[in-house]
Amino acid sequence: MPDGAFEVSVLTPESQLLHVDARAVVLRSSDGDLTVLNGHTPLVTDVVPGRVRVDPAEGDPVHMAVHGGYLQVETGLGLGASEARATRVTLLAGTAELASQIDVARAERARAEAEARVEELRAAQGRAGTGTGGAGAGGAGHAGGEGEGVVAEDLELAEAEAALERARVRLEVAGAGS
Amino acid sequence: MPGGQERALRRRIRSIQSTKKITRAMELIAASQIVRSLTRMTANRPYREGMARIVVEAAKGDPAAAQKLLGEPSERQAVVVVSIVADRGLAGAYNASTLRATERLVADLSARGIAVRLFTVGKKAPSYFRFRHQEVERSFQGMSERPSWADARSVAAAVSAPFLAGEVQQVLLVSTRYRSAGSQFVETHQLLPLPEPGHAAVADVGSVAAPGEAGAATGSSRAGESQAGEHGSGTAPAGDLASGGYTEFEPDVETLLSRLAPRAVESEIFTAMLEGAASFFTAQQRAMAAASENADELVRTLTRIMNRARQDAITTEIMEIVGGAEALRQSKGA
Repeated sequence: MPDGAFEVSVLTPESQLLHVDARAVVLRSSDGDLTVLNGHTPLVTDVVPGRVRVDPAEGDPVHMAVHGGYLQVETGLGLGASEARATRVTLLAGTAELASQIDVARAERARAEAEARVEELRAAQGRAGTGTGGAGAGGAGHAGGEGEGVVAEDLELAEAEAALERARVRLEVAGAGS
Repeated sequence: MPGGQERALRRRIRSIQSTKKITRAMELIAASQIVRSLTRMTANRPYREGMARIVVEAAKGDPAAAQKLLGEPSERQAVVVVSIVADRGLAGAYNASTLRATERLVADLSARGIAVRLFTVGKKAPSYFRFRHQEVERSFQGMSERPSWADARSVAAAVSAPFLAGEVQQVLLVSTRYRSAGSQFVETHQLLPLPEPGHAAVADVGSVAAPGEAGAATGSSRAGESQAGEHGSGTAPAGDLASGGYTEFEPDVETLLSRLAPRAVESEIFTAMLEGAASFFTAQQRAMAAASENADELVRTLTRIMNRARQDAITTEIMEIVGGAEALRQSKGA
């Protein structure tokens, strides 16, 4: 392994997306932007959806769209092959893809669909909101039923918003990454 | 009537032969699916191990905060039980042994006065429990053969919700674990609270033996071993790794763990579903191989019986002719 490089793996539940010797990993956590270099202090942090860049020891930087995940930096003796102090970085993401593998046309379509869906759901919710306000004096049993409906709608809206966010991240990463 | 018997046997043999064609085809399909399932299991392993490492690290970082989400629940009033089986049958005892284990676990918990909320994956589960008047709160179908990450997430969200809302104190998972081609066994895992690092994830209740294979004792001890193995990369090198103790956390451990726990459950469920699928196809291949073999055996036996029946018919016919000829000669002579 060249000097200043360390082991980086990007893992998703269905595959190992990336496993390289790298010089730097650049990402954003909920506390702000973060660059991990060799010898970084041991760290566990979350990764907010967005671009993650890995600079391999050799070759061009690798860009990835990561839809939320966790990063662990381990630094200590006896990691990897050598006996010396070494750093190992593991990024765990439920969903992630390499910028080069993103299908821009598909992401574009997905964004349009998600946008329409979010708008539709928001509009429906707005109506439901005023409806509940007007019928506020209705029976308790009725209110229970409506409550459940709202929860299901909230879930749907959250899902649609998440899909929209994923599409946005994909497009952003694909646009500037490749 | 002798000829009739022969014809009936011939028809039976033909029907068995065509059944055998089907079982043989299913056996081959199952075999190819095993390979695919195993590939997916292997691809999932690094993620799962990475997840275990992060949880261990976070738990070490702030043991007080970890207490809420890790370890054994001090008291249990209500428990969620998740059972993972297949959508289809024709796989030997695969579905039955997992469902039986689930039923026993539920009975055991109920006997202790603990309320049970049952969630199931696989089409075979609801019918089994409906017949036994055991209510199933929610059943997931159509995902057991090729489980996707999204499937695992939706299952995880549903089964974790009661725990995160404080309605239950424990979430248990009953599923078939795949150790090797020759050994799969039913195991009960604690999903939530997250199992204490270094402790076996196997729950204290209802570890069950799979039929004719690894028993309960083997099951639990295997889990112990694998835990030890997993921590070989996490806990064991901590001495020389020296990261334990001064690892930084962003955000703080408590927030991190509370967000991490659902991800860890998703990962566990996904792994269980993948192992379940691999076990299903292995069981199916074995069952279908046995069925094909049995068909061969039946054809052999029936052919023998049919030949004897034909021979009997011929013998009888000859006897009749000889008898007739004899009678003719005697009548001529007289």
